Amino acid sequence: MIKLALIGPHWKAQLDQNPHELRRIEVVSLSDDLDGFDRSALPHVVALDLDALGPQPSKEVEQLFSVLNVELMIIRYDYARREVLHSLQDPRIRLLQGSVSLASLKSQFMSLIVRDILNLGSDDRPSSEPSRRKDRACPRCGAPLISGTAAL
Amino acid sequence: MSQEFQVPERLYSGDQLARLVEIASAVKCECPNHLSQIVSKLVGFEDYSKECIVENHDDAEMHALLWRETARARAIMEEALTKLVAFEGFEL
Repeated sequence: MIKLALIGPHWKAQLDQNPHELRRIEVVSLSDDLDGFDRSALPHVVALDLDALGPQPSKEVEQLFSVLNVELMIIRYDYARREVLHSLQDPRIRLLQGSVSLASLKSQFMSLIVRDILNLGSDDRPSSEPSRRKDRACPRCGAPLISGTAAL
Repeated sequence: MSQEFQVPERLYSGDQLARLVEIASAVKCECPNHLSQIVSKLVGFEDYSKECIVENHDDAEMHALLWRETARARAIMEEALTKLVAFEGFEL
């Protein structure tokens, strides 16, 4: 399951309102700021508000990447200077402006969720377990067909 | 900064606006979600332009105007949001 850390003052309110939106995602840390962030939770994805990064966001981000094996960092901001946004350009960073719904947030790392599903196989069973359902295969090439994406 | 301007009181906290982004609406157009995002954007720019007043001394008067007008716009949209919340029967 994808592990997600949420850092910022309003993510909790969104989760309280709509707890089912983040299915197939484990929220391993939920904090108002970086001080409350549980780094030992080792999230795959970190979503945080730009304000949480303080006056030198690029340095803070660099520090986070160096100590965590984060695959994707999603930074939400309201308004920011271009130079600040430019300093955060990195293939592992997505910048989102404005208030972000949980559905929009989830869509940012859909590829990781799908990869997670493929790794586990169907119905959250480890891929080493034999499938109880009849395996379906592509009629043209014989490749196994993906199941479990309905969970998305 | 104008001494006469009274900043309209904020009607919604950040948490309340965050809840409204997620809230399921009986109105199919999802206007509560969109309207809360509009208010959030205005709040964001209101705060941002207020910082500009402090940091850019030469343009302070212009940034003060932007801040005031944004605060007014924010108050107008908050009023609309309040009516919509009442219409929908949401409890925040």
